[in-house]
Amino acid sequence: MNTFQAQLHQNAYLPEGESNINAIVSVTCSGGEGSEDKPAAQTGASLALGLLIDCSGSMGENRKLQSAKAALNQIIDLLPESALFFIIAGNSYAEVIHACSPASEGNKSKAKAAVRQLDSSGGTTISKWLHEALTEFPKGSNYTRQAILLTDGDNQESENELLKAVEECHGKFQCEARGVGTDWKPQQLRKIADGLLGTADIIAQPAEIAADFQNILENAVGKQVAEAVIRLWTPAGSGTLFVKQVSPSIIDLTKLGVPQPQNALVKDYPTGAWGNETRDFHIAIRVKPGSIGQKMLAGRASLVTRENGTETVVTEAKILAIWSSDEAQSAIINPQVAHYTGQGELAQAIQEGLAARQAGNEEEATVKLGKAAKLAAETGNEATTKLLRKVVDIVDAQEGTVKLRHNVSTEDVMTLDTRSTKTTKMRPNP
Amino acid sequence: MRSCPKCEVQNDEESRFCGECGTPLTEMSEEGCSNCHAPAGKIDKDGFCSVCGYQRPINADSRESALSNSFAGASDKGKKHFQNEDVFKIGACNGFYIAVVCDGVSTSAHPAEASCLAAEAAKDHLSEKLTHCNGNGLAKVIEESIEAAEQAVQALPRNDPKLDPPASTIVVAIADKNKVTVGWLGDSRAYFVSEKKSKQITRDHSWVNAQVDEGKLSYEEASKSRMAHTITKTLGGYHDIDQPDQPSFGEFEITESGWLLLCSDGLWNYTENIKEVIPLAGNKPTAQELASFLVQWANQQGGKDNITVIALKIHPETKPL
Repeated sequence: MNTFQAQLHQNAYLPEGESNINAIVSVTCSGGEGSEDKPAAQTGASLALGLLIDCSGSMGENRKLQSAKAALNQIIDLLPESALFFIIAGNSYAEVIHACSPASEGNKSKAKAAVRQLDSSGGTTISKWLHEALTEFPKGSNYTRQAILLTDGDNQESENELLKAVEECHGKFQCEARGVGTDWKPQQLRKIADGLLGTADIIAQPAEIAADFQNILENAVGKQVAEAVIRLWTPAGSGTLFVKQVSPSIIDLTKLGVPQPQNALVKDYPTGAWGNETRDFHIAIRVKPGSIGQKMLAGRASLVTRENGTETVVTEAKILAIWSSDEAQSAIINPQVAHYTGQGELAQAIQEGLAARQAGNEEEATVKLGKAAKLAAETGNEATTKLLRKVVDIVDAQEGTVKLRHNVSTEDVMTLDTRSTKTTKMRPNP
Repeated sequence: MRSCPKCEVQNDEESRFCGECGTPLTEMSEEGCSNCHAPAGKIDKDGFCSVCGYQRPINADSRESALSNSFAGASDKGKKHFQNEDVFKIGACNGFYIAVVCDGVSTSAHPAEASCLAAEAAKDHLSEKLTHCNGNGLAKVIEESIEAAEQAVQALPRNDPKLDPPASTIVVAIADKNKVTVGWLGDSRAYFVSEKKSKQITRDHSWVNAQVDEGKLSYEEASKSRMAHTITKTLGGYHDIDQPDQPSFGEFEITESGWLLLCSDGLWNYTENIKEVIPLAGNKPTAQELASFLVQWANQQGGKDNITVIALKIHPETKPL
């Protein structure tokens, strides 16, 4: 049995007239299967895994398709018997080469035979692959629905078409989006990952596909709670500025919020499946300011699990607002709120800096990437600093002074871009 | 008339709160939201409205009470605060006048409850002890009453990690016709003001005074800091439960007629010289008129904080020649 615990970080005290309230809600799920204290009992959600593999013409180059086939074979072998799985070969069309079936020995052999037949031809239209996946995934019941999407090229359809497809898949399954090589567009994969509660990442070398897939599978198998949402109540007359997952990576959930039919003040924000893990969420609410001494419940954030059609409120955090005349008290920014605000700005600075660099605007790129270097150093995000160093020379991190490097590999730029949304936890006792 | 369930004082039929102790006269659960008028069922167990989020005020906005033409108190929430966290108590016993003002620290948990319970506990203790008192050891009686108030504040729940522990100021005065004895914690004050002079009997436990005492800043310099209003001693608050803040004491011999005034910072924040304000209340005001006037005057100056004033007119006994 999994237990959830929410911890709230906020400074409830606001100066007179202030209307914006920021809080970090840190949610920890523990005690499920696979944890040390409670090993394997056969309960919890089972995995339904969809493998969406790019088979466009360009996949034939650089052993990309060959490596993908090897990765598929490995992941098929690793699938637990309790899982369901299907495989879609994607190019200008989407072909289900192995329909959704239990991961029995027989089905695994059939799937591997189908993988052997895969060939590369045609273009890339990802919305069709997503639509096909939507029909393959089992409906309702108690499944963790996880897709892995692998592509190597630019999606040849309008941004709108892709976004529409992602929207149709909202809440129906989660998707990890991977780009192999360096000819794909990071912002396209980010849109898929953000909408489908996954991450986007680069697999620069085709040989690394297998290891990456294995990682995703291990993670997905560890998810014991198929679905949970953040149910946010906010007072009448208020507005939710945003709801974001901010750790382990930034996912903006704001637009994914679904209003509750029974209560217009309540919205559900999907968070997907949960294993033993901690995730942090940044919630910002705008309310009508109260008078000095007024205490207000500005938000009630509950985590609600959905299993076998039953909703359970597993943990709750009350976000308060108290208007204070004591400036010393209201001026304090909660360290967690400050940290994750910084991480959000860091991701934005990197993405804008790289876009400016791409557009040939070196001046803006230098300013933005300088800001990123400063933020990464301040917040102790060493992984990002390391990636930044491959694209810029950091002259003075404290001042945010950088010089753009020349002869930077496309791989390094794309790696920095896709991993810009990976955040660090706050350092203890900064 | 409605009898208060707590102190049994009779209040007007339409009163929502007791004029004496501030206790709500209707049960919480019977009343809906005071802000958006949502029905009672929408109020959660912590008093938050599940429609608009507002927490209901605990104390009445405004209170007045008078024991006689020469002894009265008035309190108002002011213009910026949403509830009144000041409480005053007045009483007379065995020839002594009793006056207590408490100002709940608005950034702590349960400030209105803290000030209410503290003032009540102090006054109860004073009434009991003074019944048999011959006028000796008044400072000791005050010290014990502040201890009783401390215990009342400590009894409030301290389990809210998001808020400072419950805390309140207190100023306690016992007066007869010759002398005023005062004890206090924090920045609620006592003055004696006659036609000729004005004397502040208390000295605030404040950051400003601490800076001055340590020779770090002049009073003028310290007053400009945003820390100026920070108080250094309170009932309750952060200190160790077993080591409460030690109150200060003062005495004042009465040689001419004048007003004993007790007030919260909601009043004195607007004047360095209370003596200049009193004449504005008109010719020979009653205690109630003066207390109400001073509250109203502070509101006219901006009403930034809760305002509380107790006024006691004292005519000294003519001493035998």
